[in-house]
Amino acid sequence: MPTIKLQSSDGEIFDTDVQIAKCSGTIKTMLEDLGMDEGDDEVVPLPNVNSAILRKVLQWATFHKDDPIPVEDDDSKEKRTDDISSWDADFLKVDQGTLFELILAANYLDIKGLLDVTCKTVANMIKGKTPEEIRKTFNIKNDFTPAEEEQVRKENEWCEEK
Amino acid sequence: TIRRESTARKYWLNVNCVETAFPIKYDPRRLLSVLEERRKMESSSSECPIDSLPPEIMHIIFDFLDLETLKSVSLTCHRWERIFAKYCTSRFKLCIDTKDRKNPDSTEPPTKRLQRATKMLQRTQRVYRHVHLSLMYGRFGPKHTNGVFSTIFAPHWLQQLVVLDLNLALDSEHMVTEVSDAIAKMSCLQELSATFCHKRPDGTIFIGGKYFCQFTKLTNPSLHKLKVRCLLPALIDCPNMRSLDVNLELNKKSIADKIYLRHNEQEGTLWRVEQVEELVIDRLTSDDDLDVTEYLRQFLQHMPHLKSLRLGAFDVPDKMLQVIADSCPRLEELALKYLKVDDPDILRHLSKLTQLRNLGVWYALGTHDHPLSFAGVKLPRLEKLYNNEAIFDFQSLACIPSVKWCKISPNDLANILLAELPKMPALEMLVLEDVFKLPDLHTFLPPLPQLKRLVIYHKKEILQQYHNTAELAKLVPNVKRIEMSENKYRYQYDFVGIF
Repeated sequence: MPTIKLQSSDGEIFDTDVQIAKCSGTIKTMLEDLGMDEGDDEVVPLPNVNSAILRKVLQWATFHKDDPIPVEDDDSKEKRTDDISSWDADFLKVDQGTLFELILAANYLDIKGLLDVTCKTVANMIKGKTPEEIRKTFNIKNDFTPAEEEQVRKENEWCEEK
Repeated sequence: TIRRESTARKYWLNVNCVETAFPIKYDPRRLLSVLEERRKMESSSSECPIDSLPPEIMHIIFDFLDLETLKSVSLTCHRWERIFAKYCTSRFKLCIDTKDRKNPDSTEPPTKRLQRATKMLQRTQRVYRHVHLSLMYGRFGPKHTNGVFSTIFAPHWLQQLVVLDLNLALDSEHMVTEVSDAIAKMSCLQELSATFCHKRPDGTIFIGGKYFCQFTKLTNPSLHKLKVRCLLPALIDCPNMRSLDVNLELNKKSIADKIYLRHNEQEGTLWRVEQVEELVIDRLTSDDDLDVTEYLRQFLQHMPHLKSLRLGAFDVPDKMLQVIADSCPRLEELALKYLKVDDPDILRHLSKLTQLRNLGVWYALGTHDHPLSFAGVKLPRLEKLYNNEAIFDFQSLACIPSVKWCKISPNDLANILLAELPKMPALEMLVLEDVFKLPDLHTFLPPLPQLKRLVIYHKKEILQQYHNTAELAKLVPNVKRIEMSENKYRYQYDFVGIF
């Protein structure tokens, strides 16, 4: 099985199956467009991903390497969030900081499946909550004056589903 | 080490590299987020880690949330409000209706409600693309409507509107002109739905009149899709209009003398329709003895590129099918509402439509006595067949072997109908509505290995009591999951569009 070397921002090298690395659209495009040959003694630096996060990303990609390519649905209605597999749910039992770093890494590396499931997890932390409950969940400071808050309420009143 | 430096090519996936090496494939949204990400990584405090997510990612998260939750989101803090403000304009619409449809018991007078809406419009920073404006309910004078018009027809609104629904009760020709002029200046407008009713001096609304027809001139450079109700504009001149949806009342006054689109004529009505590809005539009526079919023929002649026709009339007789088949040789989609069947072979006229791919029939009258037959009909490209309360001569289905999608209501003749389905080799999707004796379906459905999707519509209580899915699944081995639904209109659009 051909491998390539991925280097995290803190310098750690990960010897990775090419097939698994190619879960990342960014790495796949790079390998194809720049014609990097498999087996070359090349290091792909990933300056936006630290070793702890890259390790998790690769763990996820290894488990999901045989998943079918997800289809885009352009339904303007809200998408489902109740279809997270139990493996993913366990995998994502991490602190908020790690979860958001995983999202950023999935976005940067262009791994749609991981981006989807991590964003769904965050959506589930928000769904159905009041503003105060959301603030509490994410430790957000309320920087609205009562007048500003009232203005947002007025705006929202006229906003509807298409 | 020197050798290693020279051979190990390093591709730092940073912004510079992205710009030069991935000029096309790279998603600019991600490029932006890389920039923002860095900024955030340097500045974000450990107190609120979610602030490290850039707006583009928050938008992906918002895609998974319902409007009510998102309204809470916008009320948490300034940052989230700004992110939502940008997001909401693409997914939601601004809906100003003088009737509070969410709270029917509301006692707020419509004038007050409209004033509040106007005030909000004047202050909003949100760049809405889709606006619904309904001023049908309530009595108010020009000073109220002028406020809302002068806001929503301000220059920056004219440049941002993409979809506009207008339900207006207008009391003067002057107002009609004002609205028409504003529409003409909307430079991004794609879809317009317009209902202009006449409001009498006493404030009551007169629906169905043609009061403003002669004053309404619809011109717009970008408009793609137009729907008009209670109104036949004197002028429709939108060079990009591909879809037209009208209620045509064919009578001597409104149609025979006017609507004929003789383009170089000085007098009379002018509709530029030769570029139209999709025509919906929701209600075709005639209030005199004139021959509706003959007018339809003349109207269709002006649309040589027509690909889709959805026609509803009190009855669509034999002769009308003939006219459609003769006038619209390029038709790919045809839907008929209230087809009048005197003759079971009425569909034979359609054989001229060699391009026809989708066919829908709603409420065919008389099919109990004369089930619609495909015998002798040649529709070599027909792929989707939709039927709502019309009865087909099931044994003739074998004459349209190209059909891939089929929606039928198997009533008391279910066993005969279903027995014919193996003769449709291309059938991939079967939608069954209101199956007679649903619990026994597996006893009279033949094995259909060609099927990939099976959808069953029925009343909720009947579906809840249905437990024979396992037996049914054995008959359709290539269907992954049998879909049960109580919403029978769910797939209608996939077949032939909304009526």
